Amino acid sequence: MGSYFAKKKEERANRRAYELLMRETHGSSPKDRAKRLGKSVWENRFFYASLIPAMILLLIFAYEPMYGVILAFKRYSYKLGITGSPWVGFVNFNELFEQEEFWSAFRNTFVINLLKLGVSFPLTIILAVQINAIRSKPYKTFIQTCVYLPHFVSWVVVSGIIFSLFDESSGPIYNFLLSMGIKTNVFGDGNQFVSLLVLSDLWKEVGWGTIIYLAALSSIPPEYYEAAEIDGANIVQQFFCITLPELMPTMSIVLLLRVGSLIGGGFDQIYNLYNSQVYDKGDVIDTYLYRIGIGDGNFALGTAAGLFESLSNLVLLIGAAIIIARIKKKVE
Amino acid sequence: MARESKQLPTRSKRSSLRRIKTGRKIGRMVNAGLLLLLSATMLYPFIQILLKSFMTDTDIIEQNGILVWPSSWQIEGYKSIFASDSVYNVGHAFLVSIFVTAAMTLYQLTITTLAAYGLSKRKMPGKKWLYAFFIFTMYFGGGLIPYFILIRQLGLLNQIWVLIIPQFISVPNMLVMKSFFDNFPSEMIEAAKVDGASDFRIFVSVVLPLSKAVLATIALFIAVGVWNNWFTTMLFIQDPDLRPLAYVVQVIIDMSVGRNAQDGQTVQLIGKSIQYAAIIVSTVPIILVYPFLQKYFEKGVMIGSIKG
Repeated sequence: MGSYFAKKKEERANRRAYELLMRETHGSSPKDRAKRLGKSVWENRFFYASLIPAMILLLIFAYEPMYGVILAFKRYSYKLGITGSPWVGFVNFNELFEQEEFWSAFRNTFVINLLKLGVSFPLTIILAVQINAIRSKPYKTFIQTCVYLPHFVSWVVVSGIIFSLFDESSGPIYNFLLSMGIKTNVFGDGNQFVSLLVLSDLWKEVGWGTIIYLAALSSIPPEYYEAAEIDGANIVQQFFCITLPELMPTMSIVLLLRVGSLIGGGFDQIYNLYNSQVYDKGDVIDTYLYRIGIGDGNFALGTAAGLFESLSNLVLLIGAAIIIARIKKKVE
Repeated sequence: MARESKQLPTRSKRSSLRRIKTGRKIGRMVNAGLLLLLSATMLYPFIQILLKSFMTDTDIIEQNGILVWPSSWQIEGYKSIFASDSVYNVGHAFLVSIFVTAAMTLYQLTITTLAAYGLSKRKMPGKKWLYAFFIFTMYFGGGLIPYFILIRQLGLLNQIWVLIIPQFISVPNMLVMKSFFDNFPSEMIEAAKVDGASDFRIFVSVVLPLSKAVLATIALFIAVGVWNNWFTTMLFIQDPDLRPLAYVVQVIIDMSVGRNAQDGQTVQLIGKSIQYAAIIVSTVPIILVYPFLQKYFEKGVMIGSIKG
């Protein structure tokens, strides 16, 4: 910590010395400084110009809707538009928070995402280690091709596949489980529906999730394992003492991103699979927001729900970032 | 082997080493077997849909086990989805999808590459703010409804352009590309500068030709994303002639399962083979393209992730 401040101080001193030198050689008036800045900007004109298209489009399609969130505090009128609609304070939020359905969607979002994270996070790491252990290159490529494949298919297609697998007349999984004495009702029973969401998400994304870990695994020096072998460490010991610590930075990044999106998401998957029978366990904020906002046309309420979701996520992300930074500092 | 046994003098040690070795070998075989099983799990759902798309509906219902095989191959499902007088008109939707995918990939790749290169310049005034301008959109957004109102105000409702123009960048993709440009060998750029090349010239004839892997990767991500996008169509397009394949498949599955019927009962409205044929038609292009690009995108993703 001390050295960090010392370094900063030194940097500041250096900059100051540089500025003094520049003042002596080039003059110090604001005019001169503006001239220098102008020259520097002109030299980099190609780089600025290349940013312009993306920035204009971001301004229109990302920042304009951010301004649009003020609708959450207004009563929407089609004629007056967002800007002209009358302010109503927190009325929309009060209405939202009074709805049982909203809280159930909020809770479901959190529970489903937490379950998905709890199941897929460790399994992805195990799969990555397993793939990394394959010696034969063609076999490795073959396995990777197979496990990445579902990631590239849309949830629409996957939902069609799931309907076929669990179909009550022809579904192979439905009939297989039935022959074992288990009668499934994945589209009608809330808990079974949630299990379906978790498992189908695992099936679709587990392979793709390994890529980032495989990159980290390939950068572990093999000498570590050779040294451990000489010391007589077995495979399990090697995993916990070498592999896991080496994967820690990657794991913390992945965890941070996942925690930062715990509230929200899952629309494509759930919208294509759910029905009114499983709303109590399977409805999430995004699907709820779509139904009231677009389906019922209640724009102000939908905006309020969306704003609440965005802000909750932002808080979670910042919280997770702070906690991870603390842990890192302690470890060091 | 011979050298190893020379280093290990006692007999017991040698045998224990051999035991470890055979243990490792068995472990590796178990590992390979487990992964083979997993791969089968990944492929099985696709294969059974493929086979069932060539079966009659009665055949599909009769063969309700894990393993299926058409008792007679038929293509009625494909015939009916491709019929131009049918409500689905998959052939037309396929063409719409190809147009939208091609146009969008070119459009988004251009804007993403330019932005990534612009932000990869190490020192320029205001860089931090420009960077923040992009990053901020990753963590906060206006949400669905203000976006919907914006699109309506811009008059993009029910226009094919609504599928293209607003999807101009994905900031995470841009960051992958930026970290590639960050690591681009600066000696090459300096050398070109000494030769008197302008920044534009350097970008076009030095940087881009050496960035094929990352460009191919991002292009693949974009193309797959557009090909699979059904939500934008559901939100903004009513005209059946402007519907891309992804949305048509969604409609077919939706009607087929009839799950949005209010009573929660599943009602069969469209034959199974029709539904499965539509799924196959929309999936095949992805499956055909992707193994060829696998080598590229793995490299590209790793380039991005090494730097974090």
